[in-house]
Amino acid sequence: MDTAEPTTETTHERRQRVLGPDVRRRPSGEAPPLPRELGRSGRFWLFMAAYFVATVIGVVLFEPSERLFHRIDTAVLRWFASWRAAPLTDVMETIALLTSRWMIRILRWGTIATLITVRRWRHLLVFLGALIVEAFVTYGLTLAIHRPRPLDVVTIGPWQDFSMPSRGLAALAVTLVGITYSLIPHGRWRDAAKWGTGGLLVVVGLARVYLAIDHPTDAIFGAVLGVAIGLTAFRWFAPNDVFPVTYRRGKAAHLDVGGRRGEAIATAVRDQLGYRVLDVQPVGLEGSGGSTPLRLRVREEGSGTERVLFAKLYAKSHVRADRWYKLGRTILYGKLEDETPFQTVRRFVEYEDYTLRLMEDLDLPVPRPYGVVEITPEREYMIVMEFFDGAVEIGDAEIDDRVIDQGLRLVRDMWDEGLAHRDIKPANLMVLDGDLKLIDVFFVQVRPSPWRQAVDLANMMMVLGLRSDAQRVYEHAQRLFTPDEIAEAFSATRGVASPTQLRTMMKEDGRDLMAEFQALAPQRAPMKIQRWSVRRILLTIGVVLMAFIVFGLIASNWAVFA
Amino acid sequence: MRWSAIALSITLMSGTVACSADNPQQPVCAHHDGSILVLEAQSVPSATRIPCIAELPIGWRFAGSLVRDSGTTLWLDHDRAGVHAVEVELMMRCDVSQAVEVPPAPDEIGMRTYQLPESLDPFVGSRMLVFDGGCIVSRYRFAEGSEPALVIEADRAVSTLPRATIVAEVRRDLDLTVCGAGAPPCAG
Repeated sequence: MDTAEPTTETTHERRQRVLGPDVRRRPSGEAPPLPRELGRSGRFWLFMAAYFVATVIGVVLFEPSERLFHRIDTAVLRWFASWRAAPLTDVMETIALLTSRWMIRILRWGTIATLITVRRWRHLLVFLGALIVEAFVTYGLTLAIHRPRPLDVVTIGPWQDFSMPSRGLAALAVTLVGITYSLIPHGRWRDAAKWGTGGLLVVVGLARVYLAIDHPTDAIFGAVLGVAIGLTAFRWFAPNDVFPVTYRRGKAAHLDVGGRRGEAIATAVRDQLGYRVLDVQPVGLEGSGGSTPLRLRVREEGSGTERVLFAKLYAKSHVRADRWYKLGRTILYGKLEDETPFQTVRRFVEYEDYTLRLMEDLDLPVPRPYGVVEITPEREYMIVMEFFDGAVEIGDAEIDDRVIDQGLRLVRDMWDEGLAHRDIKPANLMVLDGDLKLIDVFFVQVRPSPWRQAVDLANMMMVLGLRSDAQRVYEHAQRLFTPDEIAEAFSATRGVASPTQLRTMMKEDGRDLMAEFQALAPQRAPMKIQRWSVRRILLTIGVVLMAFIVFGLIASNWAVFA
Repeated sequence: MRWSAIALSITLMSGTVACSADNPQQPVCAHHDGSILVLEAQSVPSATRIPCIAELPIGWRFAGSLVRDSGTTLWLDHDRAGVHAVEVELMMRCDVSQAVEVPPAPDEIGMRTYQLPESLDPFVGSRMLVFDGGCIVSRYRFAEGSEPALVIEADRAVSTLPRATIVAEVRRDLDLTVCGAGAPPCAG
């Protein structure tokens, strides 16, 4: 297999060579590679939502509708009551116990305890939030609709307050959905849990209708509401693509690249870039939280040449994750990091493509860009680039003077061109045949703050120092940077300014590299990295206020949990 | 994102208000068709009288209710007598062995009335109305320093409705039966 890239070929020349009969423009009206479809479950929930909106409006506003709903529900209740027999009633009462406060408490506290044990904090917060929202939404609706318990039929079993929607079923539904999405990994088991949840809700709902605790409409409404709140909370705030549930170490599969998405990737790469995809494999997932990195084995149709390419799949969920990440960074770093979150996934991928092309244009050792591929318009895109086949992460590579010089030269060149990488860490520095390569340019900033540039230098020196020693790296650095610049770098870099992976490796290394570099460089007082701005103050107040409200809600609604 | 954050904040804040109170629907004696009165009737199917709010003198406020299958509880707050100064409970039966029977008030004709004073300052005591199929207990627990005479206002605020009135209203509006005393047999 010939995987070699013609090194002198420009991107334009390569495109001209590769563009063959397979490359085609998608005509107007033709579906994209992975069309966004509502799906069966989506249509079901949409129908249910519409049905209950009509029900609520009908019951609250129009007396004839209220009478109609009462009549239909009562007819169903009477039919169920006609089947009443002592043994069956005993069974139904036992089933209905699943909606008792004690059972729901056990389920909720069990879930909370498990989430704390496995330290899945985000899922825990989403679970608590979903419980609170469900509690007050159902409470508010029962007051607004104020429907009494079933009439005409004797009620058997415990109940409290108005009947519509069924608060017991809503509480059970949101709890079961929470368990499904926070504790059970995506895949076969979760699918089974979804079916189990659905089946259980149907059985419990039938039991409550049999016992005339709820009207049929109350039961369905309660279950639908609980499921809808749970689903929305987890799909929105803890999407599986970005926050997968796993019991293995490291980060698990991000977006699923098999099935329909896998086919869509192959079609999109063929139609838009002109390569036949032979194989798609997730790669380096443990070092990536913001996208799904892929290794594509492709064939150029014209020449029959096989290549290995690297691709990053971005979805809307990644944009949301990026927003939260940047919110946290803004609060942590303040004015020094005046980043604006991306509003769309298209902008997201366009920006990375731009930085890649910019750095390639400047002859910086980054992967060659191959372009952006549309999977689902405005929802999913993939950026394709060169794959450094055979490269090893700098943390596992032999470091010689050449690599040290290349690393320092890279920072010098970025400084001279007014750029900062902002994520210099071992996982983003690869060594291929003795040459240093820089990957993951998504965080690159044009005309960054001087502080950010200084941090890049310190982080690079520490990465190089990890594989050699501080004295050696410092001596090489003096050839490209003044002592004052090096002193500035180490006065600017503390704690969170370095990527987590670098901090962890330094801790494991045992040497205090930071202190060694600071001792070598001229003395300079530590630079303040916690600068305050109006935006940062408002954001911090907002976050504290939200935390206060959430904890207040948990405290004031303790009955939901306790 | 911005809108979702705002929506979340509003929802959470409205939730703070919504969930911190008990059922705020007031069972007003004059509104026989109020669904809260139907719910109260369902809470004790044997009770032939249902507690309701007749009029609230100045200073008194309806503080919520809890209606469940075992009975109904209503609360009244007063600006001097305090939060939940009066608790009114409808149940199937109550213990009057320690209480003293007193003559019923004009709106209590047909019921047996009992009183159980416990303390004058702060005023603490109970008043029980016993009728066919049920009992209503009014418990007074006033804040220290508030006048015991406020109990007269409290008694005026709380009254009862015959179950039959509620049953008839539901029959007329929905052509359905509120199961229990004074109603035709229900299914099941």
